[in-house]
Amino acid sequence: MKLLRLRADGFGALKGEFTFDSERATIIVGDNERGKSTLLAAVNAGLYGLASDKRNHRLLTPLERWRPWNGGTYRLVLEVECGTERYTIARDFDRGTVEIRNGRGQEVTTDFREGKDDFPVGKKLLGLDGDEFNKCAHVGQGELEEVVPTDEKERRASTLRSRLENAADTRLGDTNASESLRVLEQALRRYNSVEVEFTGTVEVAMQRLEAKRGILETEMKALEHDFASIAGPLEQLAQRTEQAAEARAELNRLENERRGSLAADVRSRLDEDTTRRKEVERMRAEAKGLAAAADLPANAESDFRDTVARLEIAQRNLQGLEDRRREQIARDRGTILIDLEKLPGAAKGTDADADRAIALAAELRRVTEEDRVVRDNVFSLRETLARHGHEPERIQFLTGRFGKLDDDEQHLLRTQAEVTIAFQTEVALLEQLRTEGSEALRAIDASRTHWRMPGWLVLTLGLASAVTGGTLFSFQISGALAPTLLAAGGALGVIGVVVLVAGGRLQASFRTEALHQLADAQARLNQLRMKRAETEVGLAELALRMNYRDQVELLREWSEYTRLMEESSPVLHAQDQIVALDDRRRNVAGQARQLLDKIGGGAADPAGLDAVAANVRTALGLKQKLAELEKSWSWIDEEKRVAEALANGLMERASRALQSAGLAHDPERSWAEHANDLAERARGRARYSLLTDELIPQTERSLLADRARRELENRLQEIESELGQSDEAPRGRPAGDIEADIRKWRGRLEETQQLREDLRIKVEEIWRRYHTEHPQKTIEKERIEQALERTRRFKHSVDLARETIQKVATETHRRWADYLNHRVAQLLGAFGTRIEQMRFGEDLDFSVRLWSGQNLPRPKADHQLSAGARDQLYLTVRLAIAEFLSRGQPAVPLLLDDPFVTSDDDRARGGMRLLIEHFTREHQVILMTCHRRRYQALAEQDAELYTKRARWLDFRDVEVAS
Amino acid sequence: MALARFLQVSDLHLGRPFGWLPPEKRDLRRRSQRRVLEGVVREAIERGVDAILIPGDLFDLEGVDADTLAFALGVFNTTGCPPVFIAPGNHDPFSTTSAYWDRRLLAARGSAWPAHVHVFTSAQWTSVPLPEHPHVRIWGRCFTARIESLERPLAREAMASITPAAASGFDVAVFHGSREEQCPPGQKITAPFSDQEVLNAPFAYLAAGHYHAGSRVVASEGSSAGVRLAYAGSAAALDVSENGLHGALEVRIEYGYRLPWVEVEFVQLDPHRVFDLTVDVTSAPSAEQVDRRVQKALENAGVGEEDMVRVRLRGRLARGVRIARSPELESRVFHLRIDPRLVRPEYDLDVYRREAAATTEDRFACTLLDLLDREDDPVQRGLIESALYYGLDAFRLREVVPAYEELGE
Repeated sequence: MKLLRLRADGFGALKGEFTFDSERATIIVGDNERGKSTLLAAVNAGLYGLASDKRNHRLLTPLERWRPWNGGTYRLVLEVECGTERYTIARDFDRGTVEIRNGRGQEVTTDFREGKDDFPVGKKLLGLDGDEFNKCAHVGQGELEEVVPTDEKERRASTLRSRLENAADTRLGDTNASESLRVLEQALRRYNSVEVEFTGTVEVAMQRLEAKRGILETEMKALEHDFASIAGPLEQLAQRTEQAAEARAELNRLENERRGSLAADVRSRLDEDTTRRKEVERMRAEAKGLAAAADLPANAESDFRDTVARLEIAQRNLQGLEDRRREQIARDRGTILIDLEKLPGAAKGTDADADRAIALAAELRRVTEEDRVVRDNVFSLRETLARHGHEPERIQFLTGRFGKLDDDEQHLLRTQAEVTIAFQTEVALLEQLRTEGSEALRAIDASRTHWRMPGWLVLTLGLASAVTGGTLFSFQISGALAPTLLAAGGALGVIGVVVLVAGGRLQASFRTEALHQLADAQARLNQLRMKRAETEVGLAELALRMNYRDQVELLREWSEYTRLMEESSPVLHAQDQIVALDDRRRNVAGQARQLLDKIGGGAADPAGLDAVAANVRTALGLKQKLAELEKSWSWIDEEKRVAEALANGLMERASRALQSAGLAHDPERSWAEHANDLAERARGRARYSLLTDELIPQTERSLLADRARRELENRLQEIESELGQSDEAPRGRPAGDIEADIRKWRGRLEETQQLREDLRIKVEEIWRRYHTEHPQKTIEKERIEQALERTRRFKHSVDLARETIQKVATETHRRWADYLNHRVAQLLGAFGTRIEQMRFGEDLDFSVRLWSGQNLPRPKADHQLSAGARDQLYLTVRLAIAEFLSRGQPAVPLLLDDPFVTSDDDRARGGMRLLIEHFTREHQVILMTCHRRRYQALAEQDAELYTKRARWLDFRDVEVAS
Repeated sequence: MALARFLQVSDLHLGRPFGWLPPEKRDLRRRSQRRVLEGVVREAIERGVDAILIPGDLFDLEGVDADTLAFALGVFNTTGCPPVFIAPGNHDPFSTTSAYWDRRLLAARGSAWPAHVHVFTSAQWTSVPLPEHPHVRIWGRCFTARIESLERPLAREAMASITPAAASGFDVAVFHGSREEQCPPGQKITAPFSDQEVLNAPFAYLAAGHYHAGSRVVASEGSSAGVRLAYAGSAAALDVSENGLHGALEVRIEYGYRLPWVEVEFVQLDPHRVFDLTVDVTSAPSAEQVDRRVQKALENAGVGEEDMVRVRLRGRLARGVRIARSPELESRVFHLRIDPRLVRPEYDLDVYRREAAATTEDRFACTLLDLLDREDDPVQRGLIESALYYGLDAFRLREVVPAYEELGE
């Protein structure tokens, strides 16, 4: 590439146009501060632009640095030639615009675009970026050694090294080991791992992935541990379930036992009733057999015996009669007394007591039966409630809370829903009424307006006519027109007024009514809202007092309470019945005990009462017999006196007595035998009387009514059918024991179920957590492991690629290093510098071997060599690099700013000769100097060379800003 | 002559997490999997089969979540559901600690299998009579551990306890095992058996589970004629590698007149079909072009929006083109998996082999190609190939992004 022309309209201190020779070396001579260095910077800016990024240039950006000092136009135009093409690069730094045209005047700016708005023309044409161009082509004063960075890291990162590698390859620009390594390293440094939301080095990404995997594994192990630990609770849960089943089975068994006990009781009552029925039948049959003796007078035997006795007394002697009488009385009394002694308590009782005992026994039976029925009913109802999910504890809790409320509060709660509904309904209704009223008013007003309009028109016409008539009249225009107009105006005015008044009064009553309706609706609405507000306040206060969060919660529990009360009312009613029956039973039992205390004690149960009543009646009979015995023998004294007189009559009487008893007197038989027969008849009669008057009615009273017996039979059948499902035979234990066992097992069941429920919740929670989280974590772990594997594979692949590139790049390095070693030594020889050998490392660092054979690494050589020798060394390095980079592509122009300022005259001459004679063949050489006389002296020494191969340009010939 | 009908379904793997699906589709897939089992019961009722045979892997794991368990217990509780015979497989083996097979533990959690569900809980062959077919016995055996077993279920000694079938009836076997030399890729051999053992077995029909692809053994003599053994395959596709249709088998066995005659009919239950397509992306200049080629392949194959598709890309992709997810393509189907393992970047490796290495890039490529040629291990070969392409990307594109970790052969 060749620089042809530079026109600076304003660039730092530079202003003017400079033409460069493309075939010869251009030597620009100027005094200090004339802008020579600025000229080179302007060329650089023309090729690469000026950076304005403050991040890289904190103190002063290049754009700010080269802004014209006089504040004028900040612009330059650079014309270059590359191959067969010419380009004109116009950069306006004020506007930030670039325009590049080719030799044919076509704009080719976009061909040089890189990135958003960067146009590095030099990079496109030379393959070097601005930095690289500065290092090898642009040699500023005191910057010679910058071609090789001092820091090793910088050297290794140097892109210039990459350019050398590029140049080392025969296929230019397509391979670059350093660049590739940089790209690969960058890929490793900027690895993006979505799984851990990380972008950074691949090692850190792997660490994070491994850490994430570790966390997941730990969490999974914790879950697995928890899950494994539920085996114990699960086993316990199973055991509890079995225990609950066992308890339920035991409860069922006990229930059956209770039913069995009940059945035995019913069966016993039925058996007893059956026995009594049979007894009644038997007694009726016996009574039927004794019916013949029924007509026997009650005292027939005694009369007969008396008659016989008196007869015998009369027949034998009165003393004997008296003895017999005493004996007889003693015997009868003894018998009766013995019987009475067997019934000591009953002897105190009366007939009323016996009746009372029978009545109490019946009452007790009735109460027991009713109690059983009601209890069964309660049990069924409780089961129904339990099936509906109502817990007794919940009912008690709600009853305890709401049952204590006074009437007003209960009324408030009870009517709240109705008030709300009524409020909403009435509000809707009132709103509708209000709307209708408003609509009616609006319609009436519209109607009135409609009617008024013609009135206004007619009135207006009337007024207009009257005014016209008045005007004509005032101007005394003759004719009848004025009066006519006045009259017509008056008439129209009157009509208009009438129409207006009529329109205004139109539907007045409807309007008033609508207004009233509207007012009433509004008043009612306000009243309702006030009532609603009062209700709300009342509910809120009640909720606060009852420790509810708000009235909603209060009303929810109230509604649950009312619902539970409705559903459990039969149970409550039945429980009340049970209580009432208990009271009745206690009352009756108390009465029975009082009665029993009075008549000799005994069990206060129906059977005991029945037995006592029977005893009382027996005792009464005995006492009656005893009384009759005494009474029948009280007249014996009188009998004695008339015995003899009555002996025959007595005999006749005895005979009649026998006849009346259905017996015939047999003279062959003794009176005693007849008396026995008659006695037998008399006992039959007594027995008949006992049977028909006492025993049969008494037994019949103790019989179960047919309906009660059928109910008992049905009940027994029902219980037996229920029992039929159970294989277990009833044990016949007392009901109390059974109830106690039922309570015990029920408690045990509830306890087991509670424990089971606690365990179940625990097990289910762990179960749920494991099955919710473990699969997710497994998936996540697999994802992380896949990502880790991908990352590892990526790292290994890229590492392998890097290692391979580094390995093969060594050969590439050898190519450019060999070239530089040779070429730099050659160039140094041309300078006359006494350095025998150069040795470049792969990082562009080098060592030198001096003429003395001493090998010096570059840092030591920097210190040990003279300033001139060092500058010459670095200049030759640059020139050699520039040569190497120019192989096969446009040659890099060499912009040199007083490169020999530290060289002696001979070496300066040698260096200039090298540049002009050798380098101008391939490269464009532009050299700046402020040492005018020195270079003129050099030109005079090699006049022919300078004349042919150099062109002088003096800064004084161009315009430069002050 | 009598006819016995069965519906055979296996390898449903209820409770499978479906981690290969995107999170938002996993639950959908699990629901459709459940609908498949509901479909089994519905089909069984509508077809009036005598029993449902489940030869293993009804569940995916030894423990499943409560919801899945409740579903499984409830689905067979449908009115009219015929008897169900389950032989637990290697994924859901029977043990006394099994939360879904052990009735005691089930009861502890308040659950139970319906009375008409019979689970074979012995590792030995046991039998139960088929209701309404007094001379038909259902034999089954279960897995008892979640490990691959080489025990042969149809070996002579394993079947020593099996008594001869009634002359007017037949025996059916329900079990979980691997038919030798027929194992689909990606599945493991467990409880193996040979075709000869199948033919020698005293069963008229063997309902087998374990393989997720259907297959059959046909016989013309012995204990029955027609199909002797059949795998129903997975009732619902569990992965995009399980191509084709999925469902159950209706097994019809005529007996009582001559040798039992067995025939089977496939019943599709899974609405999601699985497609395996190959698309050549050679020289596709952009990712959009790759998508268009995939889209065309989907259209040509008649893929529907309920289907699951694996698209294997192959060929040489233009340099710099990166295969990326396409939400538009993914929205066309239930699930789309792009498999780029066979895709290679469009580098002409033959040039490197053919011509003398002149540049750093040439030498790099030749070095790795030489290494690749000498390597036999597929994993190492993949690594070397990845390194080669990453290096060439660095040389040519000046850009390296992770793209070649899944290269396969």
